[in-house]
Amino acid sequence: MKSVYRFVLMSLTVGFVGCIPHYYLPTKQNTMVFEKKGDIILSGNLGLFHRQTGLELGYAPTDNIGVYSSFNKFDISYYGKQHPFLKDFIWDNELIFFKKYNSGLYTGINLGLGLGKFNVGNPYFNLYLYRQFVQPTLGITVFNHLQFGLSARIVRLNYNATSATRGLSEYDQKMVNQYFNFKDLTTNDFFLIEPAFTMAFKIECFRLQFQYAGITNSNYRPYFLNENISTSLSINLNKLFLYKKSKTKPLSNTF
Amino acid sequence: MKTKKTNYLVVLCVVISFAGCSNSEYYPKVNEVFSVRNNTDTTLIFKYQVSGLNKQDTILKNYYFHANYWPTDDKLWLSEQELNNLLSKIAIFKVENNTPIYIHPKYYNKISLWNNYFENDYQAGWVCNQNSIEITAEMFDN
Repeated sequence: MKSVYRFVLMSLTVGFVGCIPHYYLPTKQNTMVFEKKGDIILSGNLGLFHRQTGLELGYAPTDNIGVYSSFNKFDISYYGKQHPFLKDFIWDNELIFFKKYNSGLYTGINLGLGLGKFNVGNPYFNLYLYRQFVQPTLGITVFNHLQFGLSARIVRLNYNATSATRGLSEYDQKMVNQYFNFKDLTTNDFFLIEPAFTMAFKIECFRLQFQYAGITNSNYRPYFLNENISTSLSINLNKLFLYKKSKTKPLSNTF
Repeated sequence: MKTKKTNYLVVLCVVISFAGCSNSEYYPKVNEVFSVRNNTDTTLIFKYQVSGLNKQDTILKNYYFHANYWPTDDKLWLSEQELNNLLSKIAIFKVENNTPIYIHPKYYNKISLWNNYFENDYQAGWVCNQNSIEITAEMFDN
């Protein structure tokens, strides 16, 4: 019974916390995406909250290095709807060093640069996010199809806000900060640690992934969302292409 | 029965969690609330202007008076100059022997002289700037 009340309280908290303008979401971490040279990954993802959707594309030119680009759009800045398709977004580009061992163990490290914008097209402010991150990953594949991964994104964030209305007085600037819940958002650099747990099912060239990601050290800053749950479906185009070329063999035997 | 109730409660909360935060697709205007507390030992008269009309109210000893203002144009909040302009039209006085005794406007004619508290109720969709000031007997001496 106690746990039911705890769940109820948590649900209500999530419900209410979600209604404040936010300017950061720990977006999906790209873990265990490449296996070998030539992998071309196309992925679409869907967040459980905040109308989060994303499109990703990656390529591994060698057996240990890949490049990955991911565009995630979501809806966390609360006020307004100026653009029919885009409210808030973060676009990341990553260099991924990875190694897959025969034992099923997987290690990787992602170096990434991200650019984001919030409340796109609103008439009051332009808020840009810049993030740089390092993300080590440790994963394992079991029973050929099931993958588990632990990762942690270590992030440096900073924001740049320009007012769409030029020449604001000190009072108006204070009002902008209060009204849009900026507070000290634009005057600080932030260092965040975002651990994530990933579980994926891999069948042939398809990979269905579920991930929980959180922020451990946000110090309850009111403009950060601290948790995210995402699902994604990836296709390894290289495998798909090879499969079509060698129709005489079952896909699982082509590698 | 108890389990059924619990299940309903859980479902309700999940629905609230997911549906309770439909984003506000507009920008609510800031309601400027001016609260004047009468900390003197007499009744005060508060004269002010709303939409170009002069109004007057009494503030009993230890009571508050509240006046509300919103931007009438497409702006989200009143600028500092607009607020100072509104405040300059305020007059606060007491009446002694049929003679009005005014408080000097230097105590209230700028928004920076008021205590400001910004308040958001995101659920209800309103935004409010609480501006308060206390009128004391000493203010009549200067």
